[in-house]
Amino acid sequence: MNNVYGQFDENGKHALAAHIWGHRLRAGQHWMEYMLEFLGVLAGFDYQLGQGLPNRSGEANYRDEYRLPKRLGLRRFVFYDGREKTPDPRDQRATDEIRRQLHTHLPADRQHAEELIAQLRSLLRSFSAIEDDRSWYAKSLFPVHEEFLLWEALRKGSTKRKYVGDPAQLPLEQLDRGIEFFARNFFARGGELYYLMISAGTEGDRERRERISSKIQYLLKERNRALGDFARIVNGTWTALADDGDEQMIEGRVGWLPDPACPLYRQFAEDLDCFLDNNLDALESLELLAHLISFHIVCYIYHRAHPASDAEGHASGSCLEACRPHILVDLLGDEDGGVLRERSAAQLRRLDAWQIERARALITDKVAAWANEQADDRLLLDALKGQAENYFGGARTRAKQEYENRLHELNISYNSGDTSREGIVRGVSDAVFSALSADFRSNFLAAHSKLGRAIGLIAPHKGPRPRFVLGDTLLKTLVTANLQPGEVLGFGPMLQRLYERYGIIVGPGEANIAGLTARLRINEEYYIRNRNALLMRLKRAGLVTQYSDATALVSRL
Amino acid sequence: MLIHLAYSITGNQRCDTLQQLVATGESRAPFSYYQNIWGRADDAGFRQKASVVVHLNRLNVGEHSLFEIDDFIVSGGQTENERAEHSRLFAPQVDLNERRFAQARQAYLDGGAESSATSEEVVLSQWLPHCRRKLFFEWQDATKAMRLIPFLYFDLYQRLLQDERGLKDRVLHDFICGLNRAFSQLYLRERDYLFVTTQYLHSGEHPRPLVRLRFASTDLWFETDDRSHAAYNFDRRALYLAVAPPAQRRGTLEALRWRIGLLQFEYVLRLAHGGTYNVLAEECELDVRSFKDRLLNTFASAPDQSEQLEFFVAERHHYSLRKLWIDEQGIIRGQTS
Repeated sequence: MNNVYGQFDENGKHALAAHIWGHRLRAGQHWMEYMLEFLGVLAGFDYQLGQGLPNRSGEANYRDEYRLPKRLGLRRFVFYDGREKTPDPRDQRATDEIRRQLHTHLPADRQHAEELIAQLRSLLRSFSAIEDDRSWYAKSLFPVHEEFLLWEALRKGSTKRKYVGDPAQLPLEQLDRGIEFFARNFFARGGELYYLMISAGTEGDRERRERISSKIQYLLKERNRALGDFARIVNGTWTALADDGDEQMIEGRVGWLPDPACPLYRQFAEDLDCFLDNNLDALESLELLAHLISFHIVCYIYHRAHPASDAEGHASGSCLEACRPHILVDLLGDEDGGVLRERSAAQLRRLDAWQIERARALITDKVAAWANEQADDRLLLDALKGQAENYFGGARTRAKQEYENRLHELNISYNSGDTSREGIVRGVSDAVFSALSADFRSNFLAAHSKLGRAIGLIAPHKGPRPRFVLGDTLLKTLVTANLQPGEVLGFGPMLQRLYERYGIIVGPGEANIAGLTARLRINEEYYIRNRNALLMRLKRAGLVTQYSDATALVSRL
Repeated sequence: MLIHLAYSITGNQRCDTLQQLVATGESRAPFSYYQNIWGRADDAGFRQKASVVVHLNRLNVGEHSLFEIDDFIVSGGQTENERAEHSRLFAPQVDLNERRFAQARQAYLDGGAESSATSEEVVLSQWLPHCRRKLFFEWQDATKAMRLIPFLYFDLYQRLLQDERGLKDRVLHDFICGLNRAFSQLYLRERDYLFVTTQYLHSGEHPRPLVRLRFASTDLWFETDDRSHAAYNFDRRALYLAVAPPAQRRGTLEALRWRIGLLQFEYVLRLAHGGTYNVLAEECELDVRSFKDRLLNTFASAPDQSEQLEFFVAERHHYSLRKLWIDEQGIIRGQTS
């Protein structure tokens, strides 16, 4: 790939999705993690956007790597307990040591101190953002303060092997052995990607960069200081014990983002800039920020999945228009007998199908290009096979066997003259696609609906027949990201803006422009009622003031 | 127009369903309800009902099954008075000489155990919503009829609007309790202080709401206000909750007012009396949240920079307030039970 932003590994083999959506998004990632990682990377670059790019190293104040404290002490204290998924005597000992050490920061009365420890732990624990079914080192806290930022880790082999040694014999610094922060092929790095998007979107706009990073810095450092102080004390105990007070740092390099000139990134940066200019409570602000980031990631996935998405379009800026998805939002639910819900669900399925088509198109293009390079018919099949392996990496286990078989069959039929050159190219494309599609489907395809469901863009939360909706918190987020404080916008123009920027379709006007009225063939009245339902919602939420039937003004609080 | 309203507002139907009925040739008669409200005697009970007419479409007065009311419709009343009332309401001349509703009712009552199939039941239950709406408007037993409005605190709300003496103070404590629950999403019992909290809600753990601001009940009061309405030649009264600024900022800031509509009032009071968060959430949750945002914006100078953390924790049967702070020597201090 020649046009990327970030650190692209020329020799690395990347999953199918990474070639289209950058390195990388994965369905396994929790929606909150995108924000955690983004803030982590930003904090790791000292709140500077646009860092970590390889071609600029050597410039003043420029860093290739982000650096973050490991914060294992805090993490152990908060998450390691008797219910641990992967218990380990080393962690038990470390936890005990931390608690013992913590007493130096507590009143002398032992019982009172123990109660305070319990209280402090449960307070910190109430901010746990990511638990799922993870081990303590992979759980994370909601970043109410910079000190709460935790970076996903992994202890190699911990699920397979039990540690049998006697941890009491080990020096304290060895208790952290085997905990890894950078297993590139294990972690998704959606937040890194978002960092790159915002950096790319603010290239050449120093002021916006400054505003965004200083607002986030303020949010993470100046607010909720008391909580940050507690976290620092807890973490400090372990640093003092294991690292002689000098905490070890994680050092990481960013992944890469395709088509850095794409105007979508600039749009995201504008949203973020506008959003951060708010007076909300810090916790509320962070929660909405998590919604905004996830929403942007979903938009990004749809944008690049569009059949019209190509490098020229992204470079010239015409993609905003050409790759606009149709997110038909259903606000009526059962009120209209599910007419709109049906249509909205169909739009969602269409966007799903686009992603698969996009992946297939990429393979077809690539294989065709490789075929052009190899004029010698006899070497063609082997050449294609080799190229595909180089580019995408081999298929795994069962898929691999099937892939080999298919290529073998192609080989036979080609040698016998049954299949033409075009047939081979097509056959190889199909084989590669079916070998990779299982991984693509299970690790990437679900990402958009998982995120959408978490932020209230897709309903139901669990269950069949998903469709697009607009949840309350998301609505509030979008209004905050689109209106400056004090700015008012008519309800009609607001809908238009939502359509132009994100492809959200609510009322008849946007449905018309998008050509949905003609394509879906439902009465315009449904869109009108849909629009009115949104107006009612905004009104109740206090985001709209209605002066007459014709005049309704949207403003943020 | 009147016919339209009889079907839509009081009859609780939608235009397209009715249009479909026209198309399929089905009878539309059972769907309308019409009474000329300007042509009848004015009494207090009626005025109360008339004030919800604008909401009638959404209230679905006919859809709420209350045993007393359905029983009255079906059995025709227990006492002499009730029976008389029943026959007044369902008079033969209205019912095409007892050929429609009365027949369905009789069939249902006489069916007894013999008829295994429940066709009578089906017929009768089609009548019920219609009859309930009729009772709502015409039944002389107004208190019972009012129960068809699915608002529990409607009456209280109206009395507050009328500035009934002493009532505001009594309701205020309930209201504070409800707001505490709405803000913190926990079943707090505090009735004397309003705690403006903030918490992280996506955790699998028990949330520990952090207290950002607190107001004593003496700093809160209800206000009623005549909102002049340009379109009509009359003033609509509106209810507000006013919150005085914290003591240290009283010189510079004015009290903050939050308009309480019937929906918000109902939402908060239901919470105060043990209701769950889902009821009316769609209508009110964001509004309550934005009220909280306003309180924090306006009154909290640097709310999250205070040195002391105050938060609620769950103890055996209730939530209690706890504090943690770090003293000058860097020692963690706190209150414990």
